[in-house]
Amino acid sequence: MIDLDTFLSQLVVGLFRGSLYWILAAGLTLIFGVTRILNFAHAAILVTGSYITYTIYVSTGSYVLAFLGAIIACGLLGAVTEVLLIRRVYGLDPLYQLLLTFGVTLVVNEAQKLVWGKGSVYVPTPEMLRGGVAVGAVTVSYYTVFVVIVGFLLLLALHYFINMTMMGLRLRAVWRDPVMSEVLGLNPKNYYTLVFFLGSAIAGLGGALLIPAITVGPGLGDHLIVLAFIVVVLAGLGNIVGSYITALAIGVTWSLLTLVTPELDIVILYLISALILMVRPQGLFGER
Amino acid sequence: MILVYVVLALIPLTGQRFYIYLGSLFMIYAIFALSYNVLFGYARLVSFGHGLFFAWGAYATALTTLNLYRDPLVGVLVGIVTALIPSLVVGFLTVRHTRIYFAILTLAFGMVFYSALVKLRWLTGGTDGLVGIPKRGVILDISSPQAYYYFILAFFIVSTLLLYAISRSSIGLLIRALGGNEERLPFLGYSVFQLRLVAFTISGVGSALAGSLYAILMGVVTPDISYWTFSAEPLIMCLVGGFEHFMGPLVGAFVIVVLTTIAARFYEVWMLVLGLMVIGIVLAFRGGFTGFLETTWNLARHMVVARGGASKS
Amino acid sequence: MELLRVEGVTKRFGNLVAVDNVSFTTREGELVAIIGPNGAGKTTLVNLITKKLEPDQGRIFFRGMEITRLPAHSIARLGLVRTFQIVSIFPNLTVEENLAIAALRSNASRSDLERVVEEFKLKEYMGRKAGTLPLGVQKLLELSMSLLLKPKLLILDEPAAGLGPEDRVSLIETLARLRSQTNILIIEHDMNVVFKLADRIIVMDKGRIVADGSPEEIRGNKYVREIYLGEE
Repeated sequence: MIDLDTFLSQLVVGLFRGSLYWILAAGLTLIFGVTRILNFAHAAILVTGSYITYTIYVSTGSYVLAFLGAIIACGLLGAVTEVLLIRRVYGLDPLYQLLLTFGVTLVVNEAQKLVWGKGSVYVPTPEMLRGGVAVGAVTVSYYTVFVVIVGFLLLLALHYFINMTMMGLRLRAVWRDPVMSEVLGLNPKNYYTLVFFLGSAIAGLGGALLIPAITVGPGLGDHLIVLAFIVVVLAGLGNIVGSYITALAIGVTWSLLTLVTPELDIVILYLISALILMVRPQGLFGER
Repeated sequence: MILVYVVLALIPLTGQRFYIYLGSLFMIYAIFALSYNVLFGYARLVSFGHGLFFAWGAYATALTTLNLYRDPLVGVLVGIVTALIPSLVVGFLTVRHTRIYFAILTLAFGMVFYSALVKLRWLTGGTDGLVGIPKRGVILDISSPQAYYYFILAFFIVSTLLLYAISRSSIGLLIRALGGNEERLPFLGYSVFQLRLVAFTISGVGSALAGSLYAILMGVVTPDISYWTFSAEPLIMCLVGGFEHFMGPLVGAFVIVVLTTIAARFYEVWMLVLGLMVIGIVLAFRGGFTGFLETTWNLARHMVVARGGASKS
Repeated sequence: MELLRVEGVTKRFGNLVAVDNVSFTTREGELVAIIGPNGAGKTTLVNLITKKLEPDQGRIFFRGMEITRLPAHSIARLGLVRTFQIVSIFPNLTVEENLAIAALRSNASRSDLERVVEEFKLKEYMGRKAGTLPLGVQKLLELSMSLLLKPKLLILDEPAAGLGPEDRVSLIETLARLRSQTNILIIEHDMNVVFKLADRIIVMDKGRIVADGSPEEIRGNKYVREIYLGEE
């Protein structure tokens, strides 16, 4: 049988992973909710964020600068992509939109390899957050706690922003009914760019948080985009709170599955996801 | 089309192993891309999971020839026939969803298969895959490069002719109708689900054939052919070559195989260029290269007709 | 003989009741027109009958058989065929291919096909991609495809929409000719078309049927006049 300590430590790992998945999915969901575009390149942007974090850290030694730099750089990357490319395919067959963002993924991935090479990069955990706290017989690293907290704060921030601020209200108007909002004097196009900036910036945040925890290499984006899609679609496209819960659920489920069947953990995870999607295509929290 | 067959038939006579290998690879990818296009170009359904079928064909062939019956022909046939199972199953489960969900579901299924291939070491050899797939079998001995080249060529000719016949048939017409205005079909009395499933199955089985031939050619199979990025290969070929015309995927396969080999040293730059091409094509020439050719051809024809008309009067 | 029977059909979109407990029956040989201001629920009603949408309540019968639970393609195969307000054909296929798709479904013969091509003067367009045709011709194509299905009831959703005055005149002539081949139900805004062709007019407003009778009765109906005041 599995003892409580192993269970708890895996639970913690699951929460950590889930929070990262959430940050990955948050930007994607935000962008999709408003623009109806599923940005295939989202994970590639996140990974680029990791690399940028690495570069800034290596040259300045400051985590804060690196984090901020990654966030802003990725936001800009997203915004530029939107302005130059994505703009041209609004309203077109979703097929073209998907293919376009796929093309962007290729470009970002390869450009990344050209700039940083094919090797992996790593950044040590920030000093303040090294070490851990003991909970029973389990050690929970401060960094894990940090990431989980940041994830939760992101949820609160997004929720507050979208539901309580004027800007959020406008975004929701554009989200719900682009035509009507134009009548009301809002220009959806500007909001689309803003949303791409925000969503990609959040991806940058994710990338920055990721690299002190694991080594980041070129193939990671390909791996992550699958997870991102699964989270976003399982939750119900465009559902922020649902995405948070789903992301954590996936993280925890995977970690616990690994305890039980390390051979088939990911297979079962994908299978469950596929099954849920088939039974409830609108996602767990989505509306038809 | 016959020209293509003739050219391909002549290649082994050059005796150069490199060209023979390239030709073999081209044919395999061409079958993959043509099959993929039945779903992509005709029905306008994007699948990121077709690596699943390619891998199925490859692994089925590998497992058969290594464990059951040591012959490449039998192996390939087993690969094709058994491919009906995953095609129908996955198709049945994914086809009834709208396009975006379909794309994501196929991605998920592709990854299920990939992870299964990696994890079930006892069957599939895990990340190392299966090696030693024989070319010398009980019925057929195709161990020389020329021999297995012609082996592949035979399948190439048969499958391309079949796919062409399908594209010109009623079923082909209906699948293209799916891509043109899917919503209209139920009100004409057709079940969209059934049509999509047919298209999906055709593309799945064709992809498996390509995979089977690939296994024989390479002698080795590894799980990465089921990873979604490999599924993107036929997608890119169809995009670059033109997905609205039958020959498009062939052209695309040729371009990609040849250029990738030439650019091997500058792989990352080449992939970058490819990404830019995809973007460019999506934004500009939706019909791909072949569409561009057709547009130019029509323009040229109009000019000739106009000039001819003018000279008559 | 009863052709189409709609009983208590209702459809809600959130708080909006688009179709509110609508019931009526049509008979063979009777050309019925459904009119009403924009948003009255006419197209939604057709969508419910042809199963583009699922009704929340109610039952629908076609030639005595209940079709409420049937999927759209089965309903079409029973002979209930419709056209769309925004013309819906296969733009990437040629006219010939478009017609072939319809002919295939109903096993129409060579001569059926030729007759339809002749009737709607499509011969010169046969090889052209349907998407490149002018709107009027596309509408004729959609109509021909519908006829090739050998419909028992043809529902036309705003057939005159987007047509210029001469085309509208041809439309009236065409529909008058078609009456003998099949039963027709039209949704229309063009009163000219409606009053020239209809045996019976059903008027809808805000999801409900507010009037149902012969053209003279409807013309004299005060309520109907009110609804349309300022509309034409």
